[in-house]
Amino acid sequence: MFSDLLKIVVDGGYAVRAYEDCARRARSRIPSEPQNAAALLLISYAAQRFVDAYDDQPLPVDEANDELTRFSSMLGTLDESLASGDPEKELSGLNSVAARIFEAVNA
Amino acid sequence: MFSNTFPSRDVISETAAKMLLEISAVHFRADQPYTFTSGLASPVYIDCRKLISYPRIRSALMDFAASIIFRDVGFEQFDAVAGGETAGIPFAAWLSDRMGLPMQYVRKKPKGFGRDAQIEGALAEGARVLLVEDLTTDGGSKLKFAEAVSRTGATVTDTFAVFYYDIFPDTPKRLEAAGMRLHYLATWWDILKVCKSEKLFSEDVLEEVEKFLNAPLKWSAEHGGIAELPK
Repeated sequence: MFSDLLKIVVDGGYAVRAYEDCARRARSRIPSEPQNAAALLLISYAAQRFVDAYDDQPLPVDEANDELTRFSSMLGTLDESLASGDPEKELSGLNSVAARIFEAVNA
Repeated sequence: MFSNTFPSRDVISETAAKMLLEISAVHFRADQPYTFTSGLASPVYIDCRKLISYPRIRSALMDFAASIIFRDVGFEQFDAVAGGETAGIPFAAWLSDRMGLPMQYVRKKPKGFGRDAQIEGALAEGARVLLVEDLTTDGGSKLKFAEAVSRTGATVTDTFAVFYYDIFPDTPKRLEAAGMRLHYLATWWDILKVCKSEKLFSEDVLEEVEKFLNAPLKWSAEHGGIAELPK
């Protein structure tokens, strides 16, 4: 469901411009995918947080790898929970990702 | 205002490189490379923002900047100096003061509400603008800032950066194609030259740095970064 968004980040060397493209793409999908709006908005927040954190700042390769692992895990959670078709699982997945973004912002 | 001295290009570049090294703005790290915004893996990193805390150095650098611009472009060729958010803003302020010109700054993106402003400060239609940033790597951010300026009816004709990477041969052409001439004080080659002559880092480190400077995309690909620049 969201693998194309992860691909944007991976193909772009999981650097600032790639996350920026990913955030933009996630936002642009919201009007045409109202059923995924909350997930797409969270993905755009997560990607934008990376941009805000590292634009103009040194980003060691190891840190970029760790960030990619976290981002990929968030997308995996959203993919899995939305694919389940179970409203409780969907809500739980969205809440879990929102909490992880909040943690990252306040780290 | 500008002190009206015109040191040679070589003296400016060497002195600027020494200043950046003196304040530890230069970082070399081949074993734990940096990832640039483009995804390029690199053993080099420079933090020109440190310059703002060193008044003697920044003052000399701004005199150098004014001398390069006046000598290469002319004394009456600009109507304004615009700084690119964020790091370009202080340098634009000091340089506009040296050049006796109005200043603006350009946001990376419009505010998104209210006036939706991307340019702050008064900028007249038709104004010839010098765009200022701390760094130039591949020129991508300058193209975006210049587009924002052009939407106001003004034109960026020249751009100045304290430091230019000088590792992608296409950068000046890319800027020229967008109507901008590039000016700068020093490059990685000037830093490398000073490091070698003053033996500031180990030979191994400098050898690795030189490998990167000569073939940045190859070095990047071998160290977990991108192998080609995004289109």
